[in-house]
Parts: sequence; structure tokens; C-alpha cells
Amino acid sequence: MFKMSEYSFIAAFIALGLATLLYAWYFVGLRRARMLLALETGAPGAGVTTEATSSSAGWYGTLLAANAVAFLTLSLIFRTIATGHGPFANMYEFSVAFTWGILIVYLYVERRFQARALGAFVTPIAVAMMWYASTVPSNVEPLVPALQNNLLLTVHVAVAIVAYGAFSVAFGGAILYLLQRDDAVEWLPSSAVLDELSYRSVIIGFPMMALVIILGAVWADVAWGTYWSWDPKETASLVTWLVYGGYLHARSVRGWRGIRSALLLLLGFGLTLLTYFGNLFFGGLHSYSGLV
Amino acid sequence: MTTRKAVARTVAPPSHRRPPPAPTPAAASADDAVDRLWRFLSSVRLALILILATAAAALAGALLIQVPAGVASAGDYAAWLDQVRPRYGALTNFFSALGLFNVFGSLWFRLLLGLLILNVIICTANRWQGLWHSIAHPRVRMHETFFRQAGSHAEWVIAGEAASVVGDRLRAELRRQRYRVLVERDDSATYLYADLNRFGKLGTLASHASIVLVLAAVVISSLWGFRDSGFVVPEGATRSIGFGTTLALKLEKFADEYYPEGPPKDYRSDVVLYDNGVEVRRATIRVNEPLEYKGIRFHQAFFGPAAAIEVKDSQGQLLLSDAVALQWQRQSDGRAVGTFVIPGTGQSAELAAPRSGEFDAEIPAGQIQLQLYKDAQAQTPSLIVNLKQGQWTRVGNLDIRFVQERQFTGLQIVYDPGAALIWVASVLFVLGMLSVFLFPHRRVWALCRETSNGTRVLLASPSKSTGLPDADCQRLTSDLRR
Repeated sequence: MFKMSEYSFIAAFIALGLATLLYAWYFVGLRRARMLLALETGAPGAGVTTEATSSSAGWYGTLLAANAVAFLTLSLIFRTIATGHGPFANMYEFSVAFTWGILIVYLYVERRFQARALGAFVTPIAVAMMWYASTVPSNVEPLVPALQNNLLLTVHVAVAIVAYGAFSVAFGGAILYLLQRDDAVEWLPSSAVLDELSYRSVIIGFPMMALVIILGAVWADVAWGTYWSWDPKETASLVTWLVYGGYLHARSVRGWRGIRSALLLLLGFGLTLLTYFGNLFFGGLHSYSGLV
Repeated sequence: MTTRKAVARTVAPPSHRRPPPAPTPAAASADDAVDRLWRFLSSVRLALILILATAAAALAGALLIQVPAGVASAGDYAAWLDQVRPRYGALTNFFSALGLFNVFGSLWFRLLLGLLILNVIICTANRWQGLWHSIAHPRVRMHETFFRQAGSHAEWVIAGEAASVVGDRLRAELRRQRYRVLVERDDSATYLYADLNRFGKLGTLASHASIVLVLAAVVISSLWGFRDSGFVVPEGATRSIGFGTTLALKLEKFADEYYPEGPPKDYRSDVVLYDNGVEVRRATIRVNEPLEYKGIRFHQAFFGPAAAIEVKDSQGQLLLSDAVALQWQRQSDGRAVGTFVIPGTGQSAELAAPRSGEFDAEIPAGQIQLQLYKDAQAQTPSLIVNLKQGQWTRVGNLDIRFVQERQFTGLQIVYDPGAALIWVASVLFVLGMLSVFLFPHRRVWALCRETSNGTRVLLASPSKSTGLPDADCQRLTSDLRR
């Protein structure tokens, strides 16, 4: 089962790597095609051909990203069978699951908004996360007493992974939005679409993050008798949640719509990463990363 | 701000705005100031500022080491500050002056949270009427400029049909798509308002109310709850839990287990709980399995070594037979120490065992060191002796026996009457969010006005995402064109 899990991981890594390259090609091609058309240089058909190849690159990018999700799912399933608990007990397992979360939310948003240009910004995050997973030890550590709660471990972390994934997609959307803020770049999706797409991602991630914090509180209450103890990791997750809550409110405040809201999404993603990697340096109750 | 925007969107009817009661100039400026203060306190802008300020403060608390709860006196604090000084260097005093080493216990952080909650309450109080109005009595008649300026709008002409007929067809089609449709007519025009999921947005009220509930829960817990984070019982001993209860807990056995690789696998305490001396519970407490009795919970928290001790006076009368938890660590030599009082003599004693797993030249294996103090005020021991396990040893005018090595368990005892409210608030929050996000309030206005050759239909929504979904809109269009 471990071998199966590892093979699936490698297959997913390859598929994701290729998908990232194809998305980048699509993005660059999109730009060239539109610029060629706009400037009307070269033969009349040239721009269209480039656009055709690059758009098929985008299509294959999506296909491969979907494959990567399938392989990651298999990898996580095999690992669950092999270890007997949800694949959420050390940094390797978290990272594979995080990659899965990013891709699943990304594919949903891409499909819903037809904004493939986003892939060029989101898939690199997923690749980085997978690369990180491949550098940390993947051996199975036995669960320390605090983690021996299969139901809560699985649900708490599974929900966190989707929330983190949604915030990553919102981050990609915010970067594109900042590039596109005056709708000056005609080969990118319009700023209204990008704003809406980030917002959609946040309204997936925000309630999920609330649920993560609540489930964490339930668990802490069962295991330690305190639902809240200002432990660094739980505080960091609260801060992340607050910033996205701030973002949701900022969208209805004059002067905060647009650029400042997008900047909040960048800040939020930074905090998401801080919360995520917090296990490594925070100490406290969450210091069971499997890396000590 | 949202309020104002929402009003601008629905264009609330004039009756909704209170006419000013023609005040005198002085009263007017006072009124104005109160009005402005209220508007500021109820603004989403203030909410945003408070949210981000709270986030920044909490982030500082997460990133910087916080003062442990035990550090209370100024001297202790200065000593603690010196411990962290190497880490923060020149910034140490700066952080300390800002109170960033004690964010969560500080008054200013509580004030910040209090302000945030106050803002939530005021915002909600301010908004709910308008919110309810837009649900129960939405404005149906809109001016043509609204249709041209709306975020999402459409316009087409149906030849040869009267406005009322077109209006009826629109209504029928929207009803078929499960919209609520309100219609008003005048001589030459039919006005329609249609919406979907109108109750979904009450979820914002639920979510915001839940935040206030969390505060209420915390207040209830701190007023009527109690917590002992360091309740210690050695094996074989019984201890009262205090806090005005009649409960006592006996530890029969503590066990710690490890995986072959080294990490801990399990901690368990076999305990018996007595209420007024009567056994009421017999249970095994583990990290994820607390014992609960009448709302009071006992959680496994920590453990350590203990020693069973017996003391006799010179007449051979047994003064004490108990187990002593060696729950402290002595700063000077790192030994595990515990204290006990010898009844009827005024004397007290401190027991010390070697640091766990280490060789100690003064205390050989199988022995424990005892320091006897004359009274509670004594600074230096009157006697220091080593006790051999199982043997009686003469110490001054007492005979003391170190019966056996044991373990103690450290439990966290919690009575938290507010906790239930926290869970209610949590469920309310999540359901509220889901109802807002999964069932967005979709609204569309239509104006059918007769022209010389038929009826002109104007259709508009404040924005695309809060208006008709594309599929609904296409169905509507094709139906009208038929």
C-alpha cells in the first residue's frame, strides 16, 4: 500500500508539473496572440494560430491538473489504508492534502469562471507544496495521545485543507486582479470577473476556516479541557480567519473595494502559510509535525 | 456603509426616513454630533478597522513568546524578561512597553474585543430593520434611471402586445422559476419585482449574533465556572477537588506507555470519584477520554513521580500515611521535589528524587532525600537525611518510612457552564454563513412600458451575481420573444 501511495504521488507530481508548464504556455501564448492581434503585425492568421495552440495547451493543462487530483486522491487513499488513520498526521501528509485542496478548489473555480489564466498563478503554489512534501520525511509516525481521535483528526484537518486551498486560489485571483486593476490588459479576464472569482473562493474558504477553528476548539475541549488557550497555532488560524472576515467587510466599504481588498487577500494568504507552517516553529500544543 | 448602499440599491420608500423635527441651531449641532458618532460606531468601516486591529494584536501574541501564567510579581516578570532577552535583543524593552508579551491577558486587548462586539451589536441593531424591510416590503416601482444604471440590465421591445399582457407573461415565467413576484401597475406600465432566497440573508444576523453569544458564553464561564489546571493526585491517595464541591478523587493507578520508537502512546489514570464520601464513578481517564460528572470534567494533563510515605512519632503512633507527588522541579539541582506537612507537629518536609533517569551522587537508586523544616516559615532545613525504600529511619524525634516509589497524575478539572453556549453559537455561525453563501438573495426588477408599437421591457439587477442566473435569464428571454 505504501508503494502504491508513493507511485501515485510520483504520478501526481509529474502530471502537476506538466500542467503547470502548460498553464504557463497558455498564459504566455494568450498574451502573444492578443498582442499580435491588437498590433496587427505579421500575417492576419498568425495570431489566431498561436491562440489556437496555446488554448489547446490550456485545455491539456486542465486535463493534467484533473489527473493530478485523481492521483493525489489515490495516494491519500492508499496511505489512509496503510496507516489506519486519515492522512493528516505529519507535515508530509498535510502537504499532499494541501496540494489536493488547492487543485480541487482551483478546478472548480476555473470551470465556473472559465478563467484558465488563473492556472498559471495557482498551479505553481501546488507544485511548491508538492515539492515541499517530497523533501520532508514521509515515514509513518505513531500517533501521540493527543492525536488519537480519528474522527476529529480527519474532519478538522480535511476541512482545513479545503479552506487553505480556497485561500490559495483567492490569492492567485488577487494577483491577477492587481495586474488587471484598470482593465488595461485585454487578454486577461476582466477585473470584475477576477474580483468575483476571488470572492467566490473566499466564501468557500471563510466558513470552512470557521469550521476548522470550531472543530479545533471542540477537540481541544475534549482532549485538554479548554476550548481556547491562545496556543500560537490556534491564534494564527484565528488571525487568518479575521483577515478574511475583514476582506468580506472591506468589499462593502468605500475606498476598500478593489486594490485594498486584493491586498488583504495577499496578506491573508501569507497568514495562511504562516498558520500552515506554524507547526514547525510555534511550539505549543500543535508541535507534532513529525520533523522534530 | 453597507446599510447606505443597500438602501441605495433598493431605494427605500420615503416613509422609511424620519423627517428632521426642525431643531434649534444648538440642538442641531449636538444632534449632529450624536448622529455622526452613531454612524461611526455602526459603520462597517469601524468594523473593518477593529477586525484588522484585533488580528494584528493577536498575531503579535502568536509570534512573540507570551508570559506564562505563573509569572505574577514584578520581580518574576523582570527575571522572565531577562530569559527572553537573548531572543529579542534590543527590542525586548520596546515589546514589553507595548504589552506585547502579555497580549491575551491584557486590558487593552479585552477592550479591543469589547469594542468589536459593541460594533457588531450596534451594526446589527442598525441594520436589521432595513434588512427586514427589503425582505418583507421590497420596493416594486423603480424609475427608468435605475434600470439604466444597474450593474446588470437588459432591454428589449415586444411588438404588438400591451404592457399588462407582457407583465403577466413575465410574472408567470418568473413564478414558474420559483421566484416570488410582486406586481404594481399604472396606466401605461407594469412594474415587477422578483426575488429568490429572500430569507437567506437573515443568516448574516445569525452569524453576527453568534459572535455576541461567544462573548456571553465567556462571561458566563468566568462568572460561574471554575478550573484547576494542576490538580495532582499520587497513586493510592485521595484528594478533595474543592471549589465548594463535595467531590474527592482517588487515583488507583497511573500508566504511561510508549511506542518502540520512543514517542508516547498512551497516558491513563484509573480513578474513583467520591461525592460526600460515596463512590459515584469508577473510570479510566485518557487524553481524549475525560471523566464527566455533573458537568465537571476531569482531563488527563500531566504526570510525574510520587513517593508513599509513613510517619510515626516517638511513641510509635502513626501520624501520616500518604503519598506525596514530586510535582516541582528544584531550580538549583533539577531534582523532582514535593512537600508535605506532618500533622500535629507543625513541621513540614520536602522530598527530593534524582532528575528522572539520571545518576545522582547524593541520592543512590532506591533512596529518596528528605529535608525537614521546623515550621512553615523556616528558610533552611533542620535536618537532611536519605530514606531507604522500605525501611524506617529516625529523623529527629520522628520515624519516617519511604514505603514505595509511585506515580502521580496531573488532571485539569473544569466546570464550564458557558461551553454549551459556545457550541450553540458555533452551529449558528456556520449555518448563518452557509445560508448567506449557499442561498444568495437574487433580485430582479422589471418595467414594462407601452410604446406606440408595443411594449418596451426593462430588466435590471444590482449586479450580475445577485441577479438572475444566466440560465434563468435565457429562459425568460426566449419565453418573452416567443
